[in-house]
Amino acid sequence: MNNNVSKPLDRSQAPPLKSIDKLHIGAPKRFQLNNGIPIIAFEAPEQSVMYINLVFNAGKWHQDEPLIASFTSRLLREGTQNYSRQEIAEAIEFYGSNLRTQSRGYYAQVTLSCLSRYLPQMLPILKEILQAATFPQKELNTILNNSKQKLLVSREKNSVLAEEKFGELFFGGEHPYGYVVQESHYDQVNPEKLAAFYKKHYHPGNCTIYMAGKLPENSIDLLNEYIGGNDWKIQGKTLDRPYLPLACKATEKVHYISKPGSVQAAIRIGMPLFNKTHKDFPAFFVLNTILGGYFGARLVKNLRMEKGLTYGIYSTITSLLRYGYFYIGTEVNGDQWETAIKEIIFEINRLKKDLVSQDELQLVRNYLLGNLLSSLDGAFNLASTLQGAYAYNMDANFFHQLTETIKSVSPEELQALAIKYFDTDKMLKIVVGK
Amino acid sequence: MVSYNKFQLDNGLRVIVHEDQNTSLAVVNLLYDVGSRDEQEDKTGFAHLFEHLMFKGSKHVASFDGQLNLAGGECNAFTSTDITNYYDVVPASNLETAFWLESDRMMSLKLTLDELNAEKDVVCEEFKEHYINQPYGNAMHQVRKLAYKVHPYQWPVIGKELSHIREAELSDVRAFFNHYYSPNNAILSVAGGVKTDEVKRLAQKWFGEIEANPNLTQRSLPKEPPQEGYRFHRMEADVPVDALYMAFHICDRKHTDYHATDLLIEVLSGGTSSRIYRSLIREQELFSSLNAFPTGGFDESLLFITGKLNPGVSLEQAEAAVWKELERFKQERISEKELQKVMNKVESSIAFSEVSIGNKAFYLAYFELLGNISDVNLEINKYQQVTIEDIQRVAQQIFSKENCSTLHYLAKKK
Repeated sequence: MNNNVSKPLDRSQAPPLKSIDKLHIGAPKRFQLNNGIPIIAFEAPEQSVMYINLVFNAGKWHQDEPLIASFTSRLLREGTQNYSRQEIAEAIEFYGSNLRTQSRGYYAQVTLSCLSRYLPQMLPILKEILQAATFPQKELNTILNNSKQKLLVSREKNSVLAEEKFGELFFGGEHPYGYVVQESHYDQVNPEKLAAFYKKHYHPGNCTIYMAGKLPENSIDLLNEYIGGNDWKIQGKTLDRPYLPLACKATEKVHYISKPGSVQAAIRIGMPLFNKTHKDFPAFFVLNTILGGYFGARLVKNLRMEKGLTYGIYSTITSLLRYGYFYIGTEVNGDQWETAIKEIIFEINRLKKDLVSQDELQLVRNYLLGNLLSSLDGAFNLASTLQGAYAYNMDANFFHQLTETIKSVSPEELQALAIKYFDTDKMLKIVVGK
Repeated sequence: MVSYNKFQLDNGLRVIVHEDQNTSLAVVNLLYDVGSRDEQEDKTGFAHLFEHLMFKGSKHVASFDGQLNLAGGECNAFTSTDITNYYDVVPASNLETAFWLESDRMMSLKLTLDELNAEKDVVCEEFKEHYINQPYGNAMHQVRKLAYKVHPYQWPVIGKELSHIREAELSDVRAFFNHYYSPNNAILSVAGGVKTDEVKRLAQKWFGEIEANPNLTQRSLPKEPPQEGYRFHRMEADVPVDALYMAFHICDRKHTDYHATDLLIEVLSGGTSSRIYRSLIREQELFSSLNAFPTGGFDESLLFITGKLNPGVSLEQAEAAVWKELERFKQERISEKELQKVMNKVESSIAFSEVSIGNKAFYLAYFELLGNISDVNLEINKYQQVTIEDIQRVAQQIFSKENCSTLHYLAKKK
């Protein structure tokens, strides 16, 4: 017998854990261009790449007619005073750069990603796109057609139909966030409308710039030279439109859309909620995580792991600048959508009925803190995470408060919150199946 | 440039460490050398089903996810035709938890029949969600079957059909685990705010006692014979627009033409300045979308060209227009400027992907498996050595009718 053998490893014993006490949130540098555009910069000198992200108040919230915000955004790169579509594409892609234009709810973004050393070559093109886009009819026709075709294909997906119906019933068919795109909407889009929207919304008075990565030493000078001058006319800050009420009607009814031949049913269940500026947001964020916000969540355990009804199910809080809503989304075995809804309602009501156990809560606390740590790690993650607070006129304190709530919220507080906000009889319920 | 240290345990487990003190996170990436190409043709989809089962807990761990979440971590995995890859992202201070969990599930699988049955249902729902209840979802099944006659790449990772997943038995699961989930069939890669000495200690402590599988053998898969004639299939389905799928055999991952082939595909279809986007979508307006991409396997793979047609365009007309673009590659040299463009694109893509420690951890394991870890930093040089002549030569080899399988996917007239 060998007495030197070390004691066998006890694998049932988990290694000791270190808790995350306080999050370090790096502060960005702030600059201002000569024409007043604020710049928020997150530097990572160890990288060789960067992005510059220009955010405008130019999302569909601001449009007077369907599709105008998104097609203005999509056409930015389709031709300018001095460059054709092909020339713009060549000039950007020759340097391995990437340009993305996106239009969302309240905001629209123009994002250029490049090897940092090629920033000087990118700025003349960026200037043209921002200041001299021409919205050529020929390119518009192609983009409209291609987008129509894509819409036809995406409407074959039950999840897309459920999402559209949810938006329509929630916001209302006339609301900029609720209308369902019709074939005829495409015919109403023309270059004049896009140019007018562009002039009104894409200007320095309406813009914030985020940068992240390795920023060349003279980047601010370069930006001033190309997009910081007063030749780019400020049109006056966008006047915000008045709040539009929601159309969402409380009803127990399930809205069923039939899509013959479906082997799965897409489900959406949701209700109006506050957005992330509300005092109850941090605690509700924890509550949502417990219900359906991570892979170990109750809905996933019940419908996926135990019953095998679905590949995936989640619940989420959607935060918009003027609105917020909560919903659950899933695609389930087509014959069992009624069971799925019953189980979803059961899990929501369980949060109202029973206290969350300390064990479950501790797991969710640790998971969320680790998740926050990841989302603040490195200049690129930090930039996009903080942008999510700045967009609501909040700052890093939002995340410090969130951290505090995650660490301290009690089972009783979570239960009270569930009772206050969840009423499954009043939730919108959409099913798209066979 | 990704720096690394590498060592091996006595049981054959290869361990790679990338230290990056700029981050407070650590990524533990465990790659197993098994994919859907290792399946039997009457039991397909098994490697992927098995990946799901690895999250069902092991001998000393009731819930893999739960324990990792408790440590502030997150995990996921994917299965490809060639590998099964698991990764955990944890605060670097809780690195050891990932070692505990990954080593326990490599050592001992714990699975009940009920759990297996529930997970088979989950995977069947995944199959339905992505391949049945999805417009064009079954197209890749069709094209792979057309292009491969003997090699296991003829079925997709999800499997040939639902019944193969439904029929999987507990005994299959155990045999698969015992054979493939062994330290000498895996590569462990750790990146982030970690120290090599500490990783060495943890690797030895947690993985050191796991026994190697002495019965692992070199895989010998049937080699796909050269295709000897144009293959064509036409099908109709309930979709809104006609779609074209073309597949060409291309070289394997270790072949000297790999990088030239990759650049050829980039010239063809990379970005909105690329040839097919410019010519076939914007100038001739035949397609509303069109892309070329490689399947990216270790063995001889496929180059796919797939697109959706505009109304009023016939599949014959669209296919002929694609052939015309491909012929151009064979007849004319690409320009210096095109070559420079795709080279810059490669440099930029690599630089952006190396921002993430997760990507770095994966690449290190991937290149180690391919045969030589130092290649992780030589990729860019290999691309730079490609000449215009190489690209033309590769195009001439690939773009022939004899090497092509085509699927016409027609929208059923309503």
